[in-house]
Amino acid sequence: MRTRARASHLAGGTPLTDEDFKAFYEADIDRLRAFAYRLTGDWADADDLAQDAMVRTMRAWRRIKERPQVYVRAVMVNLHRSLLRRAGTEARHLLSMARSEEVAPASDDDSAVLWSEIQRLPLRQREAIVLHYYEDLPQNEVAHILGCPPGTVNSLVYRGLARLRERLSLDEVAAGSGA
Amino acid sequence: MDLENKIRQTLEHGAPQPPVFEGWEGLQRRARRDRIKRGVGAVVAVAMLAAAVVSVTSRLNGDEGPTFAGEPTELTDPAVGYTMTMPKGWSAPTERKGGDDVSVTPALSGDLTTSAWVQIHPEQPRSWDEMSAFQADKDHATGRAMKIAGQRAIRYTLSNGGGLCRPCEVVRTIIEMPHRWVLQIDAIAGTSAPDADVAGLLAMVDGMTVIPTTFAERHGTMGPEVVYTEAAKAVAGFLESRVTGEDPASWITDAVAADYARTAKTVGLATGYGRPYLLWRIYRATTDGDATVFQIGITTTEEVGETFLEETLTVRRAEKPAIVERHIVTAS
Repeated sequence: MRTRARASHLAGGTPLTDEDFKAFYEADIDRLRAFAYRLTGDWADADDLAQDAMVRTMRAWRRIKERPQVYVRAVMVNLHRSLLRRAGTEARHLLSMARSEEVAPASDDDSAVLWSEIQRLPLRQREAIVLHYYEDLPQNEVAHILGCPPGTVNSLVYRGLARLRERLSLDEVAAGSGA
Repeated sequence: MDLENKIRQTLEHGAPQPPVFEGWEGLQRRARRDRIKRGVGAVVAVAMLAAAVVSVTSRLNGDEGPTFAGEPTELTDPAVGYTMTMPKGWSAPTERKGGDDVSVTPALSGDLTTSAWVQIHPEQPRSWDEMSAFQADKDHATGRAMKIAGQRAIRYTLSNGGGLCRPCEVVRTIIEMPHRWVLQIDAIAGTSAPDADVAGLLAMVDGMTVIPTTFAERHGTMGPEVVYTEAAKAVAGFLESRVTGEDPASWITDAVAADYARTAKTVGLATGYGRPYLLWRIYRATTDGDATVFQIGITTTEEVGETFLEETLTVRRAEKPAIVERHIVTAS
């Protein structure tokens, strides 16, 4: 079980030197890629997003006021949204199809279903769920990354959970009737 | 296990193994590409900005953009009745039949016997969204007329059919003066400020003088004498400020604002459709030694050609310029 201590790798003040950036990069990039994958469901997209977000963070390195881990995630969330906007409806559809094909969790069937349902959540709900349950970030930092009030984060998480509960119960019903 | 813990477990362990990653070196390559891309973008942006400036300047000078078909190109005055067809797509679609042509018509004022009017009647904008296109058309037409006037030393008036309210007519007159050009703007409450600003800009580009005149509505509770007096004061103020060397752009704005405020104060903003309007116009400007004499006439839009009042203002160009003489001729 992950705890709040899991987020300790994100702690620390804003470094100021280029060497500090490299250290930050080395420490955070894998986690950032993993976060990106949980948003996109595609490793190629995730790696692109993570690297592009890091490039922009490097550009703004000496101006960053917040924790760089929060900053880079906010940049990445915005990049991802821009990517989806540019992609258009058709591309988004293709993207989601490709994502559902690629995602093949190694764990049990329940996890596979849950993973799939998380990927099918509306974007903002998925962002909030991943930042909250995977990155284990406090509510105010999730709100900062998503660019919304903290109350909205609660609402997004709540609605995401409700939707997952509803879909999982439907799946169970379907599985039961199929048996 | 509750749902929240299941989500944590799934997000943590459900993803497949990540592929080989380009890492720090890949980031360096991306950063270099990013710098190049941004540098190229900046160069392109500067180039586009430069092109836009050139384009705007050219348009202001009337050198580019659509031209009037049949527009005279030689040093000959267009004859009265001369019609210049607006280029296709130049004018906004109009509700008037055949009204979107530019035509040269006899001057409506008896004093402007040697002048011609260029009238354009673009479509009335039906919404504020259409105003910018409408404005661009008018600005372009003004630029063209100024160019023609500058070449041929004749006088033109651009009569643009109104703003959102039909009777709000904006008239521009380019008057030949012995020592300089004057673009006269008949400013109208509620619609004139942008025109005055644009005209001011055009005037600065072309080195012309811009004189806004006042425009007021005859009103039941206000005798025409009041309007005449107020307008005469305003015009006198305009001229006086002009010869003191103030920046035209500043005093035009102030003057128009003052005109607007005065009109709003005295007659209200109820510029009803079809009511007679009083139009104040500088009919003639001549020089006499170091003095410039302006003749100002007042007409209504319903009785164009008939001058109710003429006033003469003499502005002497001296170290401390001032209106040295005011003379009201008639008031009927």
